[in-house]
Amino acid sequence: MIVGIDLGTTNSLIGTIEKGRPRLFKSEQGRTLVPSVVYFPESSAPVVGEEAQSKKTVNPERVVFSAKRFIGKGAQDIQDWQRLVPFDFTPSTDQMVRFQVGAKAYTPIEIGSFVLKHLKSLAEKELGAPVTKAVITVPAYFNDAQRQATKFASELAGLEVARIVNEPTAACLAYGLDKKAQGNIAVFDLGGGTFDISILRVTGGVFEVLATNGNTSLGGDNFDEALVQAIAEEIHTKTGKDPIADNVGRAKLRLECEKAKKALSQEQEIQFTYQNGDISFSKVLTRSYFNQVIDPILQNALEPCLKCLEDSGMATSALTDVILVGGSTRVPRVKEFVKDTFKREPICTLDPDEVVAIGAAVQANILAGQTSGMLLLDVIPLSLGIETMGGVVSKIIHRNSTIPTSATEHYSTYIDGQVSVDIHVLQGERELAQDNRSLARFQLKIPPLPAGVPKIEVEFIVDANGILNVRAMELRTGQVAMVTVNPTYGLSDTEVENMLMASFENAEIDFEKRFLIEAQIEADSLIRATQKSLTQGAQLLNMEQREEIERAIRRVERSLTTKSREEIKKSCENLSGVTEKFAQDLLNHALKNALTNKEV
Amino acid sequence: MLRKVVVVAPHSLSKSCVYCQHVNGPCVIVCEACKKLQAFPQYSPNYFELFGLPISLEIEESSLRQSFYQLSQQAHPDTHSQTDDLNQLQAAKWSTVINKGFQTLKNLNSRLEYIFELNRNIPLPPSHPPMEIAESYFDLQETLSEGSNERALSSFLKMLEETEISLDKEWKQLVSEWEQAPTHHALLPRLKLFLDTKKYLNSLKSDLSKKRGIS
Repeated sequence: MIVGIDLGTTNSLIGTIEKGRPRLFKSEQGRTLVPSVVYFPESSAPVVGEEAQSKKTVNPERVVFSAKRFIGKGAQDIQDWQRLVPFDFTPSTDQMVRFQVGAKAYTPIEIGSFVLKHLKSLAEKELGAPVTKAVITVPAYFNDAQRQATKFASELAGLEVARIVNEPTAACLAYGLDKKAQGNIAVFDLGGGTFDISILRVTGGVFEVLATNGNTSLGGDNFDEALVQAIAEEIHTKTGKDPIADNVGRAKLRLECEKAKKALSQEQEIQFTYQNGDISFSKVLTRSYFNQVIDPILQNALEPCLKCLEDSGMATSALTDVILVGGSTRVPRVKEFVKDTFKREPICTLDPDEVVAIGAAVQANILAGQTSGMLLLDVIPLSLGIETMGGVVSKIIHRNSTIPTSATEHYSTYIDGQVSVDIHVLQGERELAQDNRSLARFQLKIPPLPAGVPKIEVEFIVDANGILNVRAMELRTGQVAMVTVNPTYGLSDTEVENMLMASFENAEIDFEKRFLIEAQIEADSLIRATQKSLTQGAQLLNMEQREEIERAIRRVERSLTTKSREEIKKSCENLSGVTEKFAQDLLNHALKNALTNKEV
Repeated sequence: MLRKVVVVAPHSLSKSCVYCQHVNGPCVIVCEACKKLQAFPQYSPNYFELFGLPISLEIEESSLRQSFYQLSQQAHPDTHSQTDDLNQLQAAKWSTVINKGFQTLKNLNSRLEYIFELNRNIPLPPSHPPMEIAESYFDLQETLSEGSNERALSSFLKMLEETEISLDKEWKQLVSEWEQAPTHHALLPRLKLFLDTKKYLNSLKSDLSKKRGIS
């Protein structure tokens, strides 16, 4: 049997399909929602769930939560996240994030595996049988490193991963179980720590993902934190004391803010009270105050939505339904935002907290051969490529390609006698390598040959889990290097998510930078080659032709001063066009000379 | 010394099942009789044939998508997860080709490029921009560099529009000739010119809209 698991930032769930109906397993407290929180007692085994949650305000240094935000990330990616969580996380020598608890340190992968192990035991207790295989969901916008890390966490917990499924896609499957979803469906998924937007075409039993986008550092956590900051400031102004100076005070305020957020989804205003030590604070909190606090955060969801619509080639009017997924979509302001963005009333007939887990269970059932007629066609969220000369990315597989897929590109060397080439695998949308997520780096040995002679074939293979394999081969010798890309957590990427967001803003600039450089080099060598030919083949041209070519050269020279790629490119094309006949004549002339044994 | 030229003919898919010899219809890769997934061919199959379509310039997206779903339902790794490793590998290979084929045939430009690739033994003229348009684009650049000139711009836009209309006509002509011609080799150079011009026009249009967006 295969179970479905939603491993969330804030809460996790585990379930299965029984006789065509979803069944979610319950915790000791009788809830399907298990907090993704791990408490480490001084001298006994780690505790997961409600009990760990209750230790947050008592013993904050020994409780780890929101670990999903850190999974698959390098230390440099998250330097400024310390304020989000009370526990310590420190980069170690391998640059992997570690949570310091007492004398021990845990990786986000281990924290994930504790949560998964706990979920597994809940299912086993209810089923009375061992559970060894699972479908696990991840945010659609997770990169390869984050997917690999999730898979690894699952293996650590003793669960073989039958499939990694994207959360919004899983949600859509859950709606599809009762044929509730049909047509063009947008899934707006705002969870505790991540945001995804996907657009699917659902026909018959086929769920085809057309496009996906998102932000893996945007969620309800950010709402809580913003409210903590706003109220801490008010408390400070009023009492002159800082309530978040110590961990216990901060954890208490955060808990109150979480409660206030949830209450404000029902009420227009609530009485907010905070009490810790000698600080006592009370205030009437209105929904509009809360809306003002979260609006700037919510705005970050707009660009991904628009981009996703554009990539899917769909206007909002072509959508059949918009589905709400994730606990944070209970916030009325979020609903309003979705309504404004997609110009229709969103639906949430299934519990937004449970829908992803149900979808994971549906997919598990499909894989177990129990559900026929349903098929999921998913995509990769971010483009994959390798670094080439000048730090430029050569994209090999483009984002939103249906998986499984593969693609092959050919490259050569730039230096004579090169004996190896570095294959640097990257993921992201930016034009320059340094701005993308580095996934792996490996070397391919090649025979020493003149520059440009080696033929290096690079093949990218993405499996149905969205995980990448890279194969590189030197075709003249058959030398092969192959890697399953292992996440290189430690590379000096700066905040990955910011970069991803920035990629949309910077796409134009990058593109220009890259192509301007290339165009300038090309133009320069074209001018020189033409001038050389003009001297060599002077006798082949009449006055008029010569003038025409010289005019075209001047045009290229002038275009170089404009620093405009389009103008350089067009002027070069013009020059090539003008010299086409001349080049042919020159070649014929050279051939004739060669045949009559004369030197050119 | 002559250069060796290898002509790889597009691979034809076998219609009869490799296991039970049942003759299957188009878009069938799991035998209708013995329900076995067919072995993945040694060479990547011709996308048109895979999708049960003639090699045509125009493709109706809805019927292409229907074939895509039909093929995916047979080949996707999800539907073979309970089978042995070899079968799963075959499924992944089929599924990869189906996904790539759908992406290639769906889009007009990549579809035409694929037709050229299928005919890569036919020599085609090298790509260059349509000289006449390029020439007047330069004149426009020079005029505009001396200050904005609405008249020059609008007459250039008018020329673009006219070129687009004639390009559209040429496309319709090509489509109908393609359907009637017994072989398509003679049409390829014209098709190439069509695609080059179309791409050039699109790039000009995006350049212009960018420039106007700035000014």
